[in-house]
Amino acid sequence: MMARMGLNKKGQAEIMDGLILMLIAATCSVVLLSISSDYGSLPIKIYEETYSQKLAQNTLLSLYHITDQTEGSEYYRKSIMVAVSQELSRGTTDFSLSGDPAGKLIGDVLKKYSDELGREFLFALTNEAAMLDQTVISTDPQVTDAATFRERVGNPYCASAALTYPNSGSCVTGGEAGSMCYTIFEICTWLT
Amino acid sequence: MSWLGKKGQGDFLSGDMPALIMIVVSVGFFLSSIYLAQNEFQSKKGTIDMEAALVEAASTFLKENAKIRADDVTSSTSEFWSEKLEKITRTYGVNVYVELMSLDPNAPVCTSPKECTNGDEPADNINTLSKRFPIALKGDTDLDVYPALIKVYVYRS
Repeated sequence: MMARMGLNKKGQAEIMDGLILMLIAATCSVVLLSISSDYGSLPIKIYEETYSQKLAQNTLLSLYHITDQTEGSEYYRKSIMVAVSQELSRGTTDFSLSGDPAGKLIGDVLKKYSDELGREFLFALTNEAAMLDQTVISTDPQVTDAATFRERVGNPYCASAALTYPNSGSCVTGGEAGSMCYTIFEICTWLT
Repeated sequence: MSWLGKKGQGDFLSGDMPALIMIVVSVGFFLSSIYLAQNEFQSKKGTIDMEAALVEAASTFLKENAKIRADDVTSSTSEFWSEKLEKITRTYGVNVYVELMSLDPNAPVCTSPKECTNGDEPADNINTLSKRFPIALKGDTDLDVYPALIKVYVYRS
């Protein structure tokens, strides 16, 4: 090939051919190794995101099922979300208060999960997709309301579900559906 | 090749030998990169399968949340183990080892590590992926449900 391009000294053309071949082989090898090193990174990222999403959903579902095992408690052997429902029917929405029994139950469970999993958790009721500040319960002491959540939490994974509670005259949050009120609650998790 | 003074060097570089050496080196380099890439693909594929098995396990525990009793994990004849977790083993060609631990000291069982397990624990030198999932552990009655964690290990023997 190089002989046709003007390299007429014996050996030079062959050396140039060899160099070009080496260059092509090196380029192909680099491309191949680059593709192989990137292979799987996208599905693994998707699986990690799916895991985080399932973690939030599992936590949310657990709150429906886990019961208060504190003997003498008002909600003894009742589900945590039943406690929240009853508090709401009484007109209480400030679950972040340390004295609120439903808020304390949620805070205890989330802290246990946070300690074991090394992740932060947040519970909040939402109204028209916005978190209600007074209902925010977070394992991160720096996250106390919707503003600090937006500011400090980069990439949270959240799961939400509806909660109904008895309508005792007016619904303190959410909407009304006959004798029942409904609201949405949310569980978010993120890595510290 | 006049710049090469020693006898023999000029003849060597002016013949086909340099090109042949470069061809052999190029082909060898390319073939070794194919070999490395293939190893990388196989390794990543194995990791993807294990990640998929873990996500499948998370989905399984999500569906079974608050239905799982300690017996379901510790008994190898339980319906849960044989139907749900063995399906993951078959589908993804991996071994699954599960540890269930209650986070509530009031729970009647599974309050200490390795008390409630199923499957063969992976050896230390085996490449293992593990994840932990929150779960509600059912106690003696439907009114006794405790916060718990399931730790799933996925590995190939």
